[in-house]
Amino acid sequence: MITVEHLSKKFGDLVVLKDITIEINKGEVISIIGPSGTGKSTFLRCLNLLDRPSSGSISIDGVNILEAKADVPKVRQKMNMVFQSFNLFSHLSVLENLTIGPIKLRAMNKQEAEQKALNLLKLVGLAEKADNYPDELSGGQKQRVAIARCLAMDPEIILFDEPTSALDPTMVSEVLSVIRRLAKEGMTMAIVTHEMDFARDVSNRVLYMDEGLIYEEGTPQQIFENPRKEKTRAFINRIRSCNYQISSPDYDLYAMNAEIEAFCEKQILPRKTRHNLLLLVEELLQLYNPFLRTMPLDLTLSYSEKKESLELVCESKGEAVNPLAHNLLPDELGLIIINNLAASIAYSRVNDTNRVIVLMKKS
Amino acid sequence: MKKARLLALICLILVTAVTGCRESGKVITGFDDAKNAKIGVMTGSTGEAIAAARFPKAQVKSFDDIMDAVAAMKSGQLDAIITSYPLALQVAKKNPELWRLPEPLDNEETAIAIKKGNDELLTAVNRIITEIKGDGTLESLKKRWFKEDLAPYEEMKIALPKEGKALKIGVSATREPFSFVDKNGRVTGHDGELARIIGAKLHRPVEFSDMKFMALIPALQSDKVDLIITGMTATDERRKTVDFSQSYFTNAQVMLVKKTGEAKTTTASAPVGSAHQNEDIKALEQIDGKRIAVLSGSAGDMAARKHFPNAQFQVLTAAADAALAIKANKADAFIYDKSVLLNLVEKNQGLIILDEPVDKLEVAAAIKRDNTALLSSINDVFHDLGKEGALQRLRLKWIDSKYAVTPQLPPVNNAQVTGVLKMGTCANLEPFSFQAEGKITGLDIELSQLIGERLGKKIELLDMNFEALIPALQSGKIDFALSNFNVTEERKKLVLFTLPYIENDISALVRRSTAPESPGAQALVGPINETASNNSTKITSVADLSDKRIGVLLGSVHDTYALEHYPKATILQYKSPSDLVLAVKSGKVDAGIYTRETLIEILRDDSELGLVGESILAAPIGMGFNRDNGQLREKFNEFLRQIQQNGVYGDMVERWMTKGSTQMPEIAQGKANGVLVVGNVSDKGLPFTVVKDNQLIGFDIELAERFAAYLDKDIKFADMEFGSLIAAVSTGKIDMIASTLMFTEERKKKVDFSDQYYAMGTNVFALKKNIAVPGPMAEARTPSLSFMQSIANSFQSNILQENRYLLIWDGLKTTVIISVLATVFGTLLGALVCFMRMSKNGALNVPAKIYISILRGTPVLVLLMLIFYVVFASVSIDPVFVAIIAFGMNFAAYVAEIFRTGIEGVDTGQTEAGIAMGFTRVSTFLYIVLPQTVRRILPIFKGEFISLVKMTSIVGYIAVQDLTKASDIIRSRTFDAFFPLVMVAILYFLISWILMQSLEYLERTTDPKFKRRKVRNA
Repeated sequence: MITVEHLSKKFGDLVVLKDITIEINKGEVISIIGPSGTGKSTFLRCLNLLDRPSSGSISIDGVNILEAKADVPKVRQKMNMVFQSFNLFSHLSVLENLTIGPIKLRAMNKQEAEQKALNLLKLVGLAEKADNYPDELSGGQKQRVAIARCLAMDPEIILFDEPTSALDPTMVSEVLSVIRRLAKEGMTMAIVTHEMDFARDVSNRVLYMDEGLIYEEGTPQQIFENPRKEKTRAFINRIRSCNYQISSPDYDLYAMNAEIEAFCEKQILPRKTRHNLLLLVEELLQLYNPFLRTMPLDLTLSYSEKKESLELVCESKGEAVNPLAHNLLPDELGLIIINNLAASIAYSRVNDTNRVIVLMKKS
Repeated sequence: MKKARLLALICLILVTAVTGCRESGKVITGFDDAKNAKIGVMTGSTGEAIAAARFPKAQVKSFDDIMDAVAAMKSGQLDAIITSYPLALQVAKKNPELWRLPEPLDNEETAIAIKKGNDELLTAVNRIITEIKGDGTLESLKKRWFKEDLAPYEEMKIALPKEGKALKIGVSATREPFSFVDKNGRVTGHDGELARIIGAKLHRPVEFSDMKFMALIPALQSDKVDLIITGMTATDERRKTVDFSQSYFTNAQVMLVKKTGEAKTTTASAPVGSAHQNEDIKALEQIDGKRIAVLSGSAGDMAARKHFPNAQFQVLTAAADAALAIKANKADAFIYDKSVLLNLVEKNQGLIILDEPVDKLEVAAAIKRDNTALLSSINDVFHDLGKEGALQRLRLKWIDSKYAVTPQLPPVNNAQVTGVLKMGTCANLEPFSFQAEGKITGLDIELSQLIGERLGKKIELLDMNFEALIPALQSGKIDFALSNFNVTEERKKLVLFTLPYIENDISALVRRSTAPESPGAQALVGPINETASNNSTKITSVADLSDKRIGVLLGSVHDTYALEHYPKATILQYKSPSDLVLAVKSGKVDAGIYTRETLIEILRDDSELGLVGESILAAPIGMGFNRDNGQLREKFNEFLRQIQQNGVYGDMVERWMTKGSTQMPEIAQGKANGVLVVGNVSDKGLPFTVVKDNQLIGFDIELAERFAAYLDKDIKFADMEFGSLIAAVSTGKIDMIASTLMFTEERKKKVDFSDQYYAMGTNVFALKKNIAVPGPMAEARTPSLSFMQSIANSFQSNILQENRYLLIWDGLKTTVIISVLATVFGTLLGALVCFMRMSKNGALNVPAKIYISILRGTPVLVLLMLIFYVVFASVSIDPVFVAIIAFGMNFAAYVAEIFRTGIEGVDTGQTEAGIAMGFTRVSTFLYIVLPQTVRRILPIFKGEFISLVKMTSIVGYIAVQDLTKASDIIRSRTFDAFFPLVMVAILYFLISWILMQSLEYLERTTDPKFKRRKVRNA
């Protein structure tokens, strides 16, 4: 149904998508997963030309829609989209949001359009909100209306761009249920999502995207249970990392701490671990302080859920120096604290880079 | 006891505070007091410069219009205003609490401004001014428009051609009496009439553009107007940008101040100069050491410097200025040719010529130095003429007889003409050489004709400037010059002089000595001094009126009577009897002459007025008919005879005249024979005609109604001014006049009279306190008007009088039209600019950005003038249209940015959703973005729109008469700030409010929630 070949997209010098080739068949539900900023949404937006690809081709039923003569609005009617931020028309009531497309674009008469809209609202469970305005609905309700609005146009495929990311956790499932229902009914869908369980359950095929590429693709079983590539594995293993760069002795300590805290919160680390981690980072930076002016420091925190291990990597480019070496310390106090908090500390020099890996003690 | 003391103390403090407050207002009685005062001047006027130069320490405030300054002075923000004499006159006459300091600050030439380079028009205008100066038109203009009293203006009717290219005249019609708008919305005044005269002389129709004074010169430069005639002073500064014609009026800059207590009683209407009693000059020797005015380079100048070495000399350029200088006490004497002085004395009552001449001068013809042949032949002619007594006759005819009507030149005998002699003259020197009725005439001209006849030559006259005569002789452009040339040693070096044909005295012109008594003192003197011309003397009999101010009804028989019987009196004509009575009551005139019957009626209710003596004139009255309608007249006479016989007439006289009844009997009107249109004057007064409860009643009315019933006709009354009744009946607009029409010979020529139906007495009436009666005098004082009454009066004069509400109505329409159309145009243009501004194409968005920054960065007034005077400079264009364009352009710049904010304020997600759904960009904008934008921007748009409505108040700068301009015009006539301003403020508010409501309606309909609420409520 949709064949994408050698699709690439650049924003200025920034290459977001490079050479993507994929085929989407009728009735398929495709989940697109991957870290943030790897071009998942851009790929989706390139499909309906909200962002115009820089090169490559997209053919729908054999017709290349990137050609100048292609009737893009017509194509889009068959390929509607659900946005992360809902984008309901705020000046129109729920019912009017559903009818404006059919009336204006399909020349459907108003009565028919309203009847159909009401049916669709029933489908998503919001028939009683027909006369309300978008700003009177909750996030989950808005997103369900948005899905109904897509359905009102009788699309052949629906593109979901992170449909639950902007939702309160309590509302995620009501939206997912609606999508699941559509999947059962055989609607062709492409879904960019961070809900891994959902992706595993609902899709026929999962695309793992990283660095602007479809890094790995396969069935849900293949991707989630037996990923072949390292990055996929890391992602699937829910290895998350937090990176912070310090380029001067006057770095913003509070901003860094906030980021570390946010990371800890996301990984649901215990309070004590968080406190120890902050203390460890602060002491390490004390030791690094004399070198910060000449050698920028790259801090990477990573946590493996499976191993329950918290790892801190400090990398600095420049002359070979280990700040933790005894001969360079003004006093021993800092090092004692670090040693108390760390399970292991290892220094190595790789390609002009000093690397110190600290493994946190489990608390 | 303590309480009482405390109370007394409080009272004392209050009184001191109040009196203290009153004293804090500065009272100015002379220029010295004005040094530290707050002085108001007109922006850009010469008064501004004078104030800066003469009162450097004073606080000078500039105003755009005199009425603003007057309002400021009345409210105590100013102590004095420096303005031109006619304007000050006008203000003082309408504001009795203000008066003008008699001594002028400066004299200026008022002239007509013409675009530089338009020499053709300049020459033509100069020629016309010379012409009307010569024939007395200018003098008459001055007399009729610059009056001290409130008597209505008499405008001369000037027939203008309808066809041809219109002469566009720029005026600032808030400068009464120079130029102002009359009740018909025409521009009139001294300059209005002058403009029409010029138009008539140029055979072109005249079109006035009324604009702000400051806008006039730009308008001239951009060819929006051809001439500026609006009392504009010919300053050097202005001369740089425009050309000025020769001066048509010498304008004094005077200072207007609040009246002091004493000033009120003595100088309110005193002539210029009388406040400063200088030592009067009675003999020639007194002149030395005084201030002498002379004309630059004149023989008088030389003579004066020779005879009065100790005097202070003031060198002026025109004789009229010198006369004014003496009158205004700027100079004590003016030394000049006696013949010219005689003329000045004729026109200026306050001046007199000293009997003893200062010097004698010979007047001769000037001839080119080497043309001795012509010299000897002219000398021969003069010799012969002298012998024949012709020179003597000429002198008698032109100089000594003080002619009232310009003498005619005898016809020229062109029998044996063998050549042409070109004669140069300067035709602004009455009686020698001047313009009268469009032709050059005078002694020199008649003399030249005699020379021509004797020498067998045709004389060709060349009118040129006096200074140009000698160069013209030297270069041979003229053969000889006759222009009251005084023979001087200097001139003898340059030209040849013939024998003197006349001897000219050089005399001194001084102020007439005034009566030694002060006016106040004289009022107390018992016996009346017949000769003293004083206004406040009491009237004992009608004979005392001879030198008083007498009020009459314009065009009435009393008018003629007063003119005939009191030639020395000042006769003031009023348009309506109520004006006349008011004039007598307010002391504007000393006595009025009016119909006895009506007066008796008035006196019934008015204790202030009294009759003087017995009836002075019994006049038969009758109905007036069209001369071709003898039949109707006969019918009336028949009817009159009938009612006289059957006693109806007697009953009428009994009821109306004797009993003073105000009851009108019911008279059944027939309809069978059509309608009888009867002309009347509704405020004639009882018992003849008056309006009571919106019904015409009175003796005349009853008579007319009875007559109509007799004819079996319906009656219709046409209420008009007395002066137009006769015209109306003779043109057939009305069938008959029923308005106590007295029989006069003059009227008989125009209308037929019925038989006399009543004989009416005529009486003199005056304020009782001014009538000398033996015995106790009834003390009647005008009660000060209550607040409500003064509001009512103000409403009357500002809104109702002269149908002034029509001005406001027209202005209102203009303001609404400009506001609405500018909004529509501005919104459309703004949308376009917004589209360009939001475009990613540099060719579109850069111009839009530039447009927005320029338009937002320039005052809309500047833009307005730029568009009118620069962009459309050479196009004749309706200024209202220009206003719409200018305001629209300005509005567009703001609106474009408002739109952009509104559009950008709509989340991009909305657009994306629309596009993703399959809408095109355009339909996404129309269906999704625009409705949301409109709702968002409406509140800001409304605010911008209100500003626009208020901003339109500046269109007066480009000759549009909007609401503000209408109020300016009214204020310029009434000098009352309250009503016009409050009314206009209310109207602006109403316009904004109504237009706002419509926008709010739009706002509601675009608010979806409101729509739903409405549905639910329904």
